[in-house]
Amino acid sequence: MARDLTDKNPIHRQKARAQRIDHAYHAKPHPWRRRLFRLSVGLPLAAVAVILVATRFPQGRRLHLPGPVSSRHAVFGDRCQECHAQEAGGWGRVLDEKCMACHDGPVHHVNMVHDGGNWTKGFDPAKGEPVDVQTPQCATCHAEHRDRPRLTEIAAAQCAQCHADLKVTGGEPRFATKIRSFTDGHPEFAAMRAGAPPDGARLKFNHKRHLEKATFPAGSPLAGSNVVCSHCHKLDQNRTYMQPITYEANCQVCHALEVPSASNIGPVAIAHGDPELVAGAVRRAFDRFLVQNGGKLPKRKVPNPNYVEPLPGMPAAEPEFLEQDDARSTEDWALENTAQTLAGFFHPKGTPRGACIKCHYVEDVKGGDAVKIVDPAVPHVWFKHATFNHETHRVLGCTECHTGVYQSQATADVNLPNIKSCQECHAPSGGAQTDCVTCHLYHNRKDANFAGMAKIEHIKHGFKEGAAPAEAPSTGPGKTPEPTAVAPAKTETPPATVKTEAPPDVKTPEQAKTEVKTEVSAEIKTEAKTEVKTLVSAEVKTEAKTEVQTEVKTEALPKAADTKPAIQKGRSVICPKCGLHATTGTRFCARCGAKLK
Amino acid sequence: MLINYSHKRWATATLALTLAGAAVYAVHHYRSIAAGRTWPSGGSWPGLGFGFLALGLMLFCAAYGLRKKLRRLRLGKAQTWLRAHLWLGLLTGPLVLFHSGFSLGHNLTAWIMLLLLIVFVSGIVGLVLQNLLPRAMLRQVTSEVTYEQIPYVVEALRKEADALVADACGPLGFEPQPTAEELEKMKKKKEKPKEPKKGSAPLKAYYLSEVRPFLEAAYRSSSPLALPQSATAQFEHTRTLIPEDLHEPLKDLSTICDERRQLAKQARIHFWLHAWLMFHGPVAYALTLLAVYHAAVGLMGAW
Repeated sequence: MARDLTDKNPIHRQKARAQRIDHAYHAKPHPWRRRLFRLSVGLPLAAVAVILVATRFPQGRRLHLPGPVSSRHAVFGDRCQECHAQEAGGWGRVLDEKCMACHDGPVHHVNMVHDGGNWTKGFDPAKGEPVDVQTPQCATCHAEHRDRPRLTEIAAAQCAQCHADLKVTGGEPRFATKIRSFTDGHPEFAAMRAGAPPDGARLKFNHKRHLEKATFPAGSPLAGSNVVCSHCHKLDQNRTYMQPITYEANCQVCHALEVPSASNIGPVAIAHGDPELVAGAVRRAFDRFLVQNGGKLPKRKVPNPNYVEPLPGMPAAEPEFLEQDDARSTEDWALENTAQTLAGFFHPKGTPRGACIKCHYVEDVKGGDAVKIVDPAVPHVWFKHATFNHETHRVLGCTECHTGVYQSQATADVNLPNIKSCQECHAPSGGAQTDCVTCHLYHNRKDANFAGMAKIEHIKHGFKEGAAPAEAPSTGPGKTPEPTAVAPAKTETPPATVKTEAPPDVKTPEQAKTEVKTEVSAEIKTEAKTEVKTLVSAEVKTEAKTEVQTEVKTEALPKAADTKPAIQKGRSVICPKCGLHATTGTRFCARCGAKLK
Repeated sequence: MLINYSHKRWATATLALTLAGAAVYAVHHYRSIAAGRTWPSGGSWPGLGFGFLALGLMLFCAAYGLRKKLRRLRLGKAQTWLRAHLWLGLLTGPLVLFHSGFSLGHNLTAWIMLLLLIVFVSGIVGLVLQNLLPRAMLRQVTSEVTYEQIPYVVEALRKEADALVADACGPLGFEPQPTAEELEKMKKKKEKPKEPKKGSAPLKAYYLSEVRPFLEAAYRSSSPLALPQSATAQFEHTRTLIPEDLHEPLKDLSTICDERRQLAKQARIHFWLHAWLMFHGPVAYALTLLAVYHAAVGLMGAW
């Protein structure tokens, strides 16, 4: 029997084919069709259901986040209302008022122009009163949910919106008006521009001499080594700027202030400071010697007439000084040695030392008994409108940027790098950051209020649940009459919901302010103490030391000196005790240490 | 749908719209970067424009499924709908990227982008398969039947094979027992149960052990008969074991097995031809719904 389909009889074949067709097949749906329908309906509904259910829970609300919250705002968790206004059932715009509840954002410049921005209050130091300033909205620059760990990372283009064509209200701009980026339009640093004032340190210092020839003296920890930049210029505690140069920290190791050996009381270090303080210290050194030596005077050193300076490397045939018994009274010995020592300090021609005059300028050396040292003014921070961080540039050698130091012989030389030096790296081709905020701060931090009014519970639970902040930080330096920065009179955005959502039992702003101030005052005091302890500069320490020493000296002075007033004579005063002439303004007698004022 | 020269206008229009969108986006992107933003925001006016366009196209593409359900309404030609679905669907991808500023989004928007990727890729894969597989099927499956008919035809093949073997080798043992009426009829016609032909035992044994299991509804791809070469070898070997008068049924069995193989191949090709739709359709609907939700939430937030 052959197969029907291959049957030679066509009728058989047709019949066979017909039998192979299920005539009811069209009534049976494709097996996948039902599955496809179920999936097409079920999957979208499931997706929406998951979202609707998820948004009921705090974690699920993150579904609506268009991007991760920056780490600084992560503390708010899922409380969108801390930043966003709740509008029409959803989360709307970020209101400046919400930002200002925690942040102080003092205005950039009181004369700035930013069309379309918010009106807020700024403090105009020239007028001495708050003024209305139109500033960008916070979120214009500080965009959240943008994969940025820090919202303060602002692109240069953001600043260039205004600075590329700078316009100000009332007068001409004080800054360059066509700055598009650090490498396009940024002027030379002010201190390096042609015609800029020289270094006004009011000291005599030769960088070249120190770096090329100076070595540390015997007895010092670095004995014999050459002086390099880092021996004097050390980073401050924040590792951003250099510590101020002080005599004690940087100069004393080589340029010690000592009683000359001719006095024959041994090497006695003298405190560095005001002439009056030095004079007192010298006198005290002789008095102390007498006390320690039982009132017995040391042998007197007189120049040896037979002394001949030896050839280098050869011992002297005769000593330079001869020692003789001193027949003077102890008072005369002390007075004369004090005067002789001070003359050596203040008058270079008087002795080979000339210790003070070597570095300091003096105003008046008339009479030879009193001098006025010109107060040094070594600049600490050169960039007045920018910040700099030495720590982040630590991989570079100092002279990579401060190129002229090894040639600098005059104190007036400004050994800063110029803008081209910075642009070698801080340029698109250099790879280093070129954003304006790398060096500049937008908000005027001088006016920032660091004593915030928020409590920890505000941060943790929001301003709605916790007590509302008593008063948001003001934009002015404590001079703004009302907290207008929080609720600007002309703001375009609706009033902050922060305050309207506060519970009914919330205290009045004054009460809350007082309470909060009381609570934070102790904390601030503690912090301030710590800061003062840790952050006080060497300069401040020196001043404090000077004052303490002066007080000690004052207490140690004979009471009789206080009873007799000093005699004013022209530009001099006469010591009531010993009759020494001193310059007006001198507080203590250089000879006897009596108080002159 | 075959992509051929007739799609030129659609392709040109899609390309032109994409380039126009790219130009608008480039300007928008430059302005955003100049304004200091890391990427153009979808909430900006150009971003919203791209977003709305993409959403509109998504809704249109989703409506193609409804059009197929509502054939009776005759809402335009099916071919036009499919072409529009295809090319405008392709345009959706660039528009969404312009809307998002080429950012892959976060949370909900990231899920939407993932779904869009699935829809986009599955759609393109489907389009490629729809262009390649029907030709392959035409070439490789000569005995193609309607897909839904395959189980029915396989059963018919099995019955046909049973009848062939039973005719040559006698009852196979699993035929249904004749009823009393049938027995009575056979008596009247003086019919006798078929006796097995001489030397048919190897054929019967081979049929029962290899061929019949291969003809079951569930295709046995591990069977030697699933491969034409091994099937030919087996049938040749069996042919040497049986007398010449049984060669004809054996040849028919070989043809039936070949037909079964083709039906299996057709089922396999059909699977690849349509399986992508199981992803594309449901995920596309989910995408459309989530996109509508995203737009609603975004608009509520903006205003």
